[in-house]
Amino acid sequence: MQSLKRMLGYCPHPPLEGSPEQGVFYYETHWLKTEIWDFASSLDGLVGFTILYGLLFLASLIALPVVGTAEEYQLILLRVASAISLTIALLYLYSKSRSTSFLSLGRSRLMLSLAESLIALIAWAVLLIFFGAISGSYYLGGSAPGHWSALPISLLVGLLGGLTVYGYSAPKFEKGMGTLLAIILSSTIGALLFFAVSMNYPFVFLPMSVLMVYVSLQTGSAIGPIVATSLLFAFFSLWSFSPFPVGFLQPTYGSIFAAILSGPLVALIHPRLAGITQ
Amino acid sequence: MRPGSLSQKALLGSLITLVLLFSVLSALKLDYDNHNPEVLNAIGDNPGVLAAFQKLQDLTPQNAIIFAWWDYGTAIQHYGLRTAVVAYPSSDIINSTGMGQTVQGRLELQLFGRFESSQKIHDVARAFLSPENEALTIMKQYGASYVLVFYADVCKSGGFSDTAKFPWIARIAGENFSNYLTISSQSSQQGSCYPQYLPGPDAGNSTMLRLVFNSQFPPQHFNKIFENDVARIYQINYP
Repeated sequence: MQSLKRMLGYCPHPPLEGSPEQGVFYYETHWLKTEIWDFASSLDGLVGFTILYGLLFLASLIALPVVGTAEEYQLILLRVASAISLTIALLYLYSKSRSTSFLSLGRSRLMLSLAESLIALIAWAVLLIFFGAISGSYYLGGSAPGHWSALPISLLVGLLGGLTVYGYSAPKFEKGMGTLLAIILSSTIGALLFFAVSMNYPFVFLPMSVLMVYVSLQTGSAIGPIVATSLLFAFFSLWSFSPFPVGFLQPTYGSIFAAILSGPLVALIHPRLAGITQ
Repeated sequence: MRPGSLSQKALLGSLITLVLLFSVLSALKLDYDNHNPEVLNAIGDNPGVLAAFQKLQDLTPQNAIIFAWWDYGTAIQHYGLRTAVVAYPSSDIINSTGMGQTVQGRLELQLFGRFESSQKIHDVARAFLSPENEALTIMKQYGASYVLVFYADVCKSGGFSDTAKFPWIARIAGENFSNYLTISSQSSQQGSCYPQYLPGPDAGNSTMLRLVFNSQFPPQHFNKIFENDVARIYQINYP
């Protein structure tokens, strides 16, 4: 059994003939197989997240002054924005000291990345709203007016967070451990930034975060996902700290289904868009 | 490119697990700290509520201990500069708090929250549900000399309402709130706030409700020293 698994682990193609058991073994080993292609690059990616969440933890120790509710959310966002800015500065110094690449933005594929990200964002948002409307279980609406003033800072948080997740860690993970692990790790740890700014429904964003890391790695450019994430932060910050949160489980399920449908759509249009934008 | 060795995989796997756990912990800590000053910030937006807390500075001696439900404890200390008998929930009443309504909030409270002893919280709840003579024994035990209650409905006081909190306080005291308070979800007149809280058959036996509905049940051992449109401060007259 062990030798069969080992053999199938190295097999570069699926079995065309043979017993169904062989197929099961092949696909089990195929999906469970993880390889480290570049240990140092994997570590660099982890260093990025360690610095980011280390600084966010330190930022949490800074007590915010008592202000009105309108200013409260601006201060929360400012605290997080400062921690991410410092993270980016430290990552720059770290990359310099190790003579490795700092940010991989993929400026040459900017248009493709922007187009795919915005299509993914719109498809996901429309489907999310649609599932809410047909199930009648949640709705998006009724912002707290004070939060409009937080809009520019939430855009900034999305931008800086996107730079760290899509521009720094995700490409390093991809180089180090392959695309699948890069998507899982970057989206899971990256989506925690939504927790850090206390959006009322952080799990709603995890499927979208998976989709954005996928687009970032597929197009080879982080710019589109950074823009889309900034828009997402800005839009949903209007509802944060709202006395009427949209709910918890239902929008999360809606988001998962929306992302499951949007993902293949983006994959389908990728070759066509790549041809147009080249 | 040659794949990494098993030891590299093990090391990286361990590091990923550590980073993941640390990231979750940091994000939850930030979320908890973001929500922590929410009540104090909300008070700043509500002049009547703010005035009630600030009045404690003018009307009570510096060493005064204020008896109030725990929700107001941190505000009594921050705005009133006085000591509150209780300022935090106990770990066994997490499900009665706003944060305790979600799994994530309960986890954050367990990890980072500050708690009063369960005995203290239950004593305060029991005092508010008991007749005055029994309440005085508990209040004296904690050295309290003043009581702060918020009598206005939620529409007026933005959530600072003891009648709205009463069902939970009664449950914590082990009592059935409906014996003391009737909740009417029907608006009696257009534009009025609902649900409306009206005294129930045993309301006169609850010290809290005597202080809230003071015209129907005039308190015997409490002197009103302050009243505005949302709150009252009483001085306790121990026999």
